[in-house]
Amino acid sequence: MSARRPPRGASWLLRRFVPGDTRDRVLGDLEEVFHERSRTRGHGSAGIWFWREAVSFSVLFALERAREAGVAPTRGVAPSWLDVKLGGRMLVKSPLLTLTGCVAIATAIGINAGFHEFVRIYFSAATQLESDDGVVRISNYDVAGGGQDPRILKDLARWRDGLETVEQIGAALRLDMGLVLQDPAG
Amino acid sequence: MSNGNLGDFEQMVLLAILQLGEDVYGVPIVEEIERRTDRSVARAAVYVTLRRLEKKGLVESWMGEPSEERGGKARRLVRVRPEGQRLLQGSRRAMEAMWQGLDPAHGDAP
Repeated sequence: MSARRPPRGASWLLRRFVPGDTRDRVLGDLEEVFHERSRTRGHGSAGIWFWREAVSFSVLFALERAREAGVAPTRGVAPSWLDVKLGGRMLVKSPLLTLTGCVAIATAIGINAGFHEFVRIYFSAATQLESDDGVVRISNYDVAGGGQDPRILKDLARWRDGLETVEQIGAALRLDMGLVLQDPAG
Repeated sequence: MSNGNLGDFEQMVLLAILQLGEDVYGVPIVEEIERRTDRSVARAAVYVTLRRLEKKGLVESWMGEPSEERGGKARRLVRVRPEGQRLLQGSRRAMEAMWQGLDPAHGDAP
């Protein structure tokens, strides 16, 4: 008998996702087939097979748990649930293709996020306020109209660039903070 | 105890257990279905179905002897309970009733 063990990561995945009442049965049966495959096809091939089965079991049992928990398929979420099911099936049937697709999508999201961060850092106008990275909204208050006059950051930057005298400022600065940084009584 | 109908795959798993007879557990069930249907089966689907059938009370299981080849884990042996056999017979009768009057070779009326 081969002394080699199935891949640890794959075994961990199985222990994590297969329910306790079935875990020993699944781990034992897969280990039995793993040793048989190690003898007949080599340890590397058996390891790849074991990983593939671990992913397959994890996905199917995760879906089964969701079904038991009643997370499944109501009419309103039917399309998204179908996506999950089809995605799970794809992962089971062609794990490498699915993982390649996931990596491609993750790379595209990373490039997109990096581009936006680049634009934000080098091209976006700054507010020149203290702690301006904490600003979530800038609004003008129209005294005559008695209401808020929503503007975008570009409006503020244009207004600020056009200032020439103190009289032209005519604006109030209001800071609403979500956290009490200092006790007002103290 | 279940009063529901059996799905196609549930029937396959139950029939595989009955075909194998003694000392039945997950590994030979998968092989039996693949051998008889001549197609590849997702191993995980068999175990999910086995667990579901046990919860429905159609299959019962018990632990066998642990073996070194299985990392010290015991085989969980299974057999079909009478309720499972009853539902299987019901499914078979329903399918036979639906096939009646059709040419089994083509699915057309003779």
